[in-house]
Amino acid sequence: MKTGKIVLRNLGRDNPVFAQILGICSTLAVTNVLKNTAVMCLGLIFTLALSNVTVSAMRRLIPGRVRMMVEVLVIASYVIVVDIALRAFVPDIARQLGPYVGLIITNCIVMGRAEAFALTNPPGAALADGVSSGVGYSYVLLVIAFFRELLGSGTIWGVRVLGDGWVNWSIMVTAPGAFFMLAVFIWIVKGVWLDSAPADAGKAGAR
Amino acid sequence: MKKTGRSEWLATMLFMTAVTAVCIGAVAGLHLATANVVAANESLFLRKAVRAAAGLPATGASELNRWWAGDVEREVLQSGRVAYRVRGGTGGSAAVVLEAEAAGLWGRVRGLVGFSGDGKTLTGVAFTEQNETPGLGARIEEAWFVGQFRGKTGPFSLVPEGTGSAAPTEIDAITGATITSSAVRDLVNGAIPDIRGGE
Amino acid sequence: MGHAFAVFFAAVFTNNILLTNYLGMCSFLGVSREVKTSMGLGAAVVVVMTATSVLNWLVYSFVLAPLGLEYLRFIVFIVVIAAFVQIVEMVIERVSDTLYAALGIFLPLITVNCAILGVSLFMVIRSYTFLESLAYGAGSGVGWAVAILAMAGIRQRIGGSRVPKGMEGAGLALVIAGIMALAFMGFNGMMRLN
Repeated sequence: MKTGKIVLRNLGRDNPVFAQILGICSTLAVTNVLKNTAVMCLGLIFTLALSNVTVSAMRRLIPGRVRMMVEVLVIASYVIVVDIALRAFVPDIARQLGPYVGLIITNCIVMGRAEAFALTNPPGAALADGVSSGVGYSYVLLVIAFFRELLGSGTIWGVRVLGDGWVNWSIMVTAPGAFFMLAVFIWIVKGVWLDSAPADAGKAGAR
Repeated sequence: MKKTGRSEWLATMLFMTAVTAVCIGAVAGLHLATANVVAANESLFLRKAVRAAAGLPATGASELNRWWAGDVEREVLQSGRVAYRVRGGTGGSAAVVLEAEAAGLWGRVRGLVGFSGDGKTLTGVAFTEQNETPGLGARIEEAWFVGQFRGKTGPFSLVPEGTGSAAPTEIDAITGATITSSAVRDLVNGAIPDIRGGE
Repeated sequence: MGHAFAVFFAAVFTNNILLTNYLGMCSFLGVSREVKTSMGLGAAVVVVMTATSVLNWLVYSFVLAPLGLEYLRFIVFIVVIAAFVQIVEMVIERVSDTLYAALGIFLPLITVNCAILGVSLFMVIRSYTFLESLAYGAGSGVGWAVAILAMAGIRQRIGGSRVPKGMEGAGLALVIAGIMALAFMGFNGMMRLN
């Protein structure tokens, strides 16, 4: 499969979040603060890309019986690398993210891509697939985090943007806010964008 | 289920062992390489927090370490509480900073409570560990919240957020984080008797 | 003892791992269409979560912490979980066909259920004791099962309702989860987790 095609697909129609509702577990929890979300997303893209490449490079060697274990080992190692890097270079953010960095291991997207793509494709394509799935996932979460932080705290990236008259929507920073926000996002994407997509799918493909 | 031959089984085991060894080796190497940086971050974090609780302005790392080595003394009080005595002088006035903790909504909240040299007023509060809800309970780390203890006497009671109370025994709670706010109140109030004796 | 019970209660209701930490969402959304399958998965999660939190606590306190290897906990925890799931699968396959039919198919799903690893990680971060870890693991498992059962029940009831097109399936499930999370927040006043 062409690299460009993989990328387009992962960013658009097959986006892991709204097409497959995969992998929201570990990251949704930190989406009430934009900065934390961005850091988590970078960690996820890093893990996804490198674990995809590694699994893909070993794909002919891995015995079928233990392939899940091998994938988990590889992924967990990269996540520890992310965790160590965060604690060494951005300790304040690492403190806030707490256990969520570790949970990248069980993010279904990482396992899912390793299992569904990296095991059967060469490293180059696996890299493209990993990065684009990660980016496709990240932009959805960043949009959610943007609105949650804006409405819930009146700030963006920690900077106050809404005036003092703004009353914070507490629900946005608590758990239900994330569910509603994601539901609305999926509604908009599926109802408006994907609905009209089949009509101009041909044009999009030619571009 | 397919029967596995002995050699295939062996190959699988060897492969697993090799992958595990490589993964753990790489991670351990990285850990050792950054251990010093991480440890330095940790101690820097504590020093920054003590300085903030003592009511002194934040400084750069080298200045902070010099201040720590010259002007701060750690001791354990009779009650078992850890205290940091901050010497007054060119850097500011004297203070005593106590470690304190209380149970928050999600887990332990640990912090530092600073008192002026004479023990009459608070110089500040800083948190070293908290797992409260980001955007709600975690707002206890915001400057306005920790700042409001300064110059007050306590023991404290909570008033609704936005009151901006100037009374020496009142602090504004955080809306939507009543339990965390109460935890902070208990944490600070709990440290007061160690300085002034039973009140 | 009292505190361990408090942790259990809090893990089921006020700090439900699914509704407040969003852990285990993937299988939650995927499997909650039917009450029967939800029940199977829920039961499997309770068993695995309780056992792995205890196992991981033991490994962490008696192996990792004394050796200063805390930074390897991600790998070790996930390997313990995967190995445990594998063993349980083998055992129930031999012991009982009915049990295997009921739980077996869900077990592979569980290794990658974020909630299982999440419980072990939270347990370490909050420095729980052995009893508290047991209570937290069991409570989170029960809480997860309660949430997925409630969700499946609601989804079955609204199965025939007319829903805006974009909201079908996942969108609606998320809205339900949001309302459930709101409802579970109501327990907050009853309880605090120390």
